[in-house]
Amino acid sequence: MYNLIRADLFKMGKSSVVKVLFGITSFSAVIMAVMAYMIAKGKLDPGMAGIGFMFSDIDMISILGAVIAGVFICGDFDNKTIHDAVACGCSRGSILVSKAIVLFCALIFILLPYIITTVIALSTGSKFSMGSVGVGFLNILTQESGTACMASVFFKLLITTLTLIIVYAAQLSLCIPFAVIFKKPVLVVAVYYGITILFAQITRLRNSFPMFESIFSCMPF
Amino acid sequence: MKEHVLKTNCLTKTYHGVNVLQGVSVTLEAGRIYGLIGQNGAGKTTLMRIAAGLTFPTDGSIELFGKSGDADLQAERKRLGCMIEYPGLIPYMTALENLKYHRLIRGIPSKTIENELLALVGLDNTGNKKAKDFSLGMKQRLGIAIALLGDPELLILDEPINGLDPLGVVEIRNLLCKLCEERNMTILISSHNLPELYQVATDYIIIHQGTIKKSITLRELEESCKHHILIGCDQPEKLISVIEMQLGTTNYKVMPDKTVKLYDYLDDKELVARTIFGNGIVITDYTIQGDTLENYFISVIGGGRNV
Repeated sequence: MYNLIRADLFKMGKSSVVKVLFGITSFSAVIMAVMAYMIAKGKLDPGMAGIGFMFSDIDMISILGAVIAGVFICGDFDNKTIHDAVACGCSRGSILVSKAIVLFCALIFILLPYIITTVIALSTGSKFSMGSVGVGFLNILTQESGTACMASVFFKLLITTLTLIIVYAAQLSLCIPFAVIFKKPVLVVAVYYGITILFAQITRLRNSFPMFESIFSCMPF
Repeated sequence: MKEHVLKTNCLTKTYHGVNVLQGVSVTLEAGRIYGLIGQNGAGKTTLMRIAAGLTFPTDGSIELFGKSGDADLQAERKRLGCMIEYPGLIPYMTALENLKYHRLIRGIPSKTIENELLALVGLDNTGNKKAKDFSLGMKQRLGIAIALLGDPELLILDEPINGLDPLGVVEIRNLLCKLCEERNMTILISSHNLPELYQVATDYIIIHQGTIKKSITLRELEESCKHHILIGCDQPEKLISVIEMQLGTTNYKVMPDKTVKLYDYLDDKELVARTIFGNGIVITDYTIQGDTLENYFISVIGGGRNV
């Protein structure tokens, strides 16, 4: 499996898709921070928070993460490189696990701009706000900005970052069976994004129905 | 006793209720080149896919290097290289990078092997050209190079000369023969280009509608395909004597049914007929026979002879 992971990391390093997605998340992270800063400063209408949320990590990852999973795994079916791995004696299970590991490495890579932007933003000591829509790194920005830059804040940031990575990884793990079943990146992205939106709506029922509460407490959504 | 590289026993594969393979039993011996011949949909690729572990048989068993069972088969597959249907290439990578990717998958430490293989298949001057910009022939060459990674003992190639230019065909043919001779590599190769296959294979497996119709060595095939005059008569012993004494040749063969295959005098059939008649032998059959591999294949699968 180590060989498979090495090979897939090499392949991902050569892929322009990951680089483009990294560029998109870098751009989005900056836009998110700038908008949160301007809203806090009163230079931007708080009603724009909804648009700001579109650039947040939680929204971007649910699309771009699925794009990576789709392109990365479905691409292997398209160009039959996955067949070569099977034919040279790798088990299907190890191929799947290695794909998952490399997918999560890619996830961390495209999340990096959000982590870096959040660290830089918090270091400035300025106030950031995205109102009630702040989730993920946007939430850290909203909650922790303006407070004294202390070690405890960065420790909190580190823990939150790790937790978020685990949550995103768990959410995106759904893309792996989708990619194996559908074998088409467009379908993977569409179905996964549809599911995330659906779950986002259903989570509102958590307070009304204890059943949903118990179901969602076991899920990364 | 020769080592069996691949052995299938009553292999059956069913897709959506259709039997693609039915009771296929083949045995491949080490150091030979097997030509797998069959029409489209005959089951060639399915047989290769099962051998490579890409699909599972519905029934029957398979042995690789004398081992069977899922775990052993998986381990033994490290000893085979394959290119089935079309080469598995990553389009945005160069030939060298594609080879490196596949080398990493196989865990081969040697970093020089990529350049060696590229030189072997004639792709050493492709530079930074991406695989997506390769011609079909170049892709085939790269696919063969990938299949050769790790010095496999069994090489499975599905239509490897598709898209190759005439020079490329000769190069690949020579390469396969060299690999077989020098490395004792066993090669299973399917192709629709039968004259080409005739020049490279040492054994032939003819598959039709999912069943093996014939397994034949090159020598047996040449024997069957060699042009000759088939003579049937009432006095076979006398006929042999006439052939040897009066026609002055021993280039003939007596068949189990007492007919005689005469391999000489194909351009002078009248002389042969006159000589036989002149000796009072009654001829019951007198025909020119002999086939190309294509015609032999057509006759084996049940098409018209000498089509």
